[in-house]
Amino acid sequence: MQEELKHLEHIERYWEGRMTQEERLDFEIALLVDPVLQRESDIYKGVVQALKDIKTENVRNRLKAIDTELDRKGRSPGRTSSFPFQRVLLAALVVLAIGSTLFLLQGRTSSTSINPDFLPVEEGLPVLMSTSGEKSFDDAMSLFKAGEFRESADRFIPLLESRPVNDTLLFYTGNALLRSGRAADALPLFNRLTISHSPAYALKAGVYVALCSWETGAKQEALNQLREISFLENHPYKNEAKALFNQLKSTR
Amino acid sequence: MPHSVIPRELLLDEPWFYNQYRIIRPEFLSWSTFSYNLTNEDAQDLYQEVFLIFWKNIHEGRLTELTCEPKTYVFSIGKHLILNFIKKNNRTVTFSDPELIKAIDNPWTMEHDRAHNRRFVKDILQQLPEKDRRVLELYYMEEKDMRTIAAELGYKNADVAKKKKYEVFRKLCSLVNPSLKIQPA
Repeated sequence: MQEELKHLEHIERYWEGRMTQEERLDFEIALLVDPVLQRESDIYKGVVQALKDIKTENVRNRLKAIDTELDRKGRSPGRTSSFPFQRVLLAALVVLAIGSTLFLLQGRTSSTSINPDFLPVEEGLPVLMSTSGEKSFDDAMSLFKAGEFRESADRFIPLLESRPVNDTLLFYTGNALLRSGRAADALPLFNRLTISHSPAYALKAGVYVALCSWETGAKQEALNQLREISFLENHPYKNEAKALFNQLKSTR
Repeated sequence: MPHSVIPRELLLDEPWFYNQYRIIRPEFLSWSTFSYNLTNEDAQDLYQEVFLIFWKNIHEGRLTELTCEPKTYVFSIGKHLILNFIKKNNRTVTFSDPELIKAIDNPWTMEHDRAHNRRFVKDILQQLPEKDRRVLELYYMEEKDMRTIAAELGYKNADVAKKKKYEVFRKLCSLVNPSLKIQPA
């Protein structure tokens, strides 16, 4: 058999498209008239196809494993809802409500484990130009700008509950939650923002989703997300994502 | 999202690829069950198929870079698959006369032969020494070039690795040949 594959190098060069046009013609003529070469070529194709099919099978198994893992975590909206957007939002609000109650009851003070220097600078909105024109929003924003993130989050949450699809509220509530150590509560808000019609918020939210993932322990996922953003040519936050990726990776 | 180009280097990155699967999955499943009234199981199967096509397009050279968001690409393949799936489920099939069906064209037989070859080669591959098996896996399954393979497996250079690869390939063929089902040319 090993002798039968004496043309292996030629056969491989042909099937991998590495022959010149002249060589190809010669080879194809030889294939027509030489049954030994034809047999070897068929064996080569069969074995290479089998190796590729093994790889495809491995990929399929990997995808199945991810499905199983995600379903086990109950993170598959397809299995639970026909109206995922509303359900996800509702779930986010429930999480926020429970989170804030527990937070108040326990009186815990926590902050993000990410070095604050790594977090993107958010200066907040001018309070006199706030989108809602309400004092409560101005108060929450003022607290945010003063770095009082826990109190700011407490003020933003009721506003968000009354206007759950407001991009500005989603962004600053998420930010206040993340900066006060409540990344798990912030994550659904930033996830929601990534599909916002406002590109400015949607793009920035991608970076925050990664930061929340990092904070909630999904570190590899966070690094993958940041790396992906850093590869996107026209992404306005690609440099920030790259810097964050390097900083976070060095802390692992 | 702005118009961006995702380079081949990133498309070939396995963690990136599987991460896309995780990221897009919830929205795809919701969309396909809600918009096309698919069962969750069918939606999941089709989602896997979409990503297998995505993967094959990358690794068989049909997709050298992505000029749209991965989600857009995945949904466009998905829509095509879903519509075909629905059509297929609604179709009434009229079989040809048996004499018109040539055995040689029988797709079931071809699929069966491929599955047989896959199982058989996989089995033999597992019996090879680790380093021999890896040289074949790295080249034919992970599509690494010979220089990378030489570095990874500790061969002196790409030519030495290439010689080794041919040697092991011949060995594999000699072991599988008696049972290999050959597809007609």
